[in-house]
Amino acid sequence: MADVGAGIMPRDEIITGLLDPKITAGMPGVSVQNFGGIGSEAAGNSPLSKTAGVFDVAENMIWTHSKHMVSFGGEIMWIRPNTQAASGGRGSLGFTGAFTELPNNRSATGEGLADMLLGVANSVSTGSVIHSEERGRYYAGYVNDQWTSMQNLTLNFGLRYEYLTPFRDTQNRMANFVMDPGPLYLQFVPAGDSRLPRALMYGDKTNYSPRVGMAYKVPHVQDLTIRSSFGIFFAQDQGSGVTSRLSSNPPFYNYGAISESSDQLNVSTGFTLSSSTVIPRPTPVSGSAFVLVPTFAGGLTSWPTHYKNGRVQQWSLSVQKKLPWDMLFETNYVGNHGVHLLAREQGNQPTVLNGATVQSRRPLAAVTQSPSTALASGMRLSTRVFRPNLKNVLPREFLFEIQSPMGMLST
Amino acid sequence: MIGDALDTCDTCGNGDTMQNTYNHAANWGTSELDVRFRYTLDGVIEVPVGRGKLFLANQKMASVVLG
Repeated sequence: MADVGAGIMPRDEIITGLLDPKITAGMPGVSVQNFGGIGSEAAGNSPLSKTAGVFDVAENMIWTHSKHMVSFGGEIMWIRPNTQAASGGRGSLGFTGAFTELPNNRSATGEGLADMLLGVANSVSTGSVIHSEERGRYYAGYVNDQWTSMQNLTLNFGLRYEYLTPFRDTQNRMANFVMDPGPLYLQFVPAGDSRLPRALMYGDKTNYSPRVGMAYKVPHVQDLTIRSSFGIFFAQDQGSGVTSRLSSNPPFYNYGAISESSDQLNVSTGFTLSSSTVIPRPTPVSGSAFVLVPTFAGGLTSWPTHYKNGRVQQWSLSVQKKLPWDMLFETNYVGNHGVHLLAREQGNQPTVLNGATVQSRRPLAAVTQSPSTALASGMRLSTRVFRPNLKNVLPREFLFEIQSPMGMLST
Repeated sequence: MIGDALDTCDTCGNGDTMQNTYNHAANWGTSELDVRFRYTLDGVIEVPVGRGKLFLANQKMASVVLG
């Protein structure tokens, strides 16, 4: 009863409307208490088709003059990711045994399989396939001077600049639920709306990356070299999957989706399966015609309209000393500190429990009862590594290497 | 190697969400990347096979593949 959603199983939606019309093979996901999931690809995201389509042009030049070696160059990328995924388009039914429990002993009774044989599901959900054709461009340029200022001292100074345009969709199948303070706060803005750029956000133009480094051969000490560096590096945003992107907003995704659960007590609140049951599929609408109502169940995604690229500062210090018997001792310290890293959060997370319903505790309940996935460029990361290393450097002989703890770092 | 890694969320790029939307600082803690101590010992030894070696010294194919 289970396949991988690869088209092995013929299309059978069980209940009319449980599969998105664009799903051409397989069946909905069915979960039955105490049994493994059945249906086509229980995870629900197959078939999944992705192409990266990156065109990259880069040019690097080196100019040597006296004690300077100056390198400079640039790069342009056309980034064209296309994605089509079954995602929410493969609906699901859940049978928990809620309707075959003994009223006086509910916790110990009930059988999901019996509920299924009765034809009453505890939960039902539907959605739609997702389809995006995003386009972005990346520009970068750099210059670096490697200056041998003394026979035993080399200095590096460099600067890199990069800019990634926010991604737009070729068919404008994107929208942004704006959660930034300002005139558009809590507005649902489709691509093509004049209130925002076509990509629904402004790119980050502050991506300056200074790089400095040095290598110093300590005088009067045989074979002792010290190296150190500092730099800033920027991250791009393609790491977020298609269901976290602005393509996953209605009406382009999950328009007309339902997500219903019973009260776990009364059969009348369950979803009854019969040959005449139909889950309606509304006629698609354009982005500008879509009206967000608080009860929309398909989920919303919000990206900051003034997007900040994640950035990581990295610094390092290493000491290398050649020892007798062709041994080399090296110790490295590398530290990283990242800020503005992209992270998902629930933009409409319920506030602390005070006895009211979950929906009433959502701060944006008057606008949407969706958890509203928000992409915040606010994640932080800090790492420190201390790595002593001892190795034999004789070529073509028995080599060995030991990395051992020889220091201590505290948090 | 010894080190530490801390962050506000490991898998919030795609899938998970921060536990507390209203207080990012409260999410600050040990990262999935955190490996406090790692010790490795590795070696490379040249096998005595192929041209000029103890075994299969005259086998060209052995010299190409193993030597």
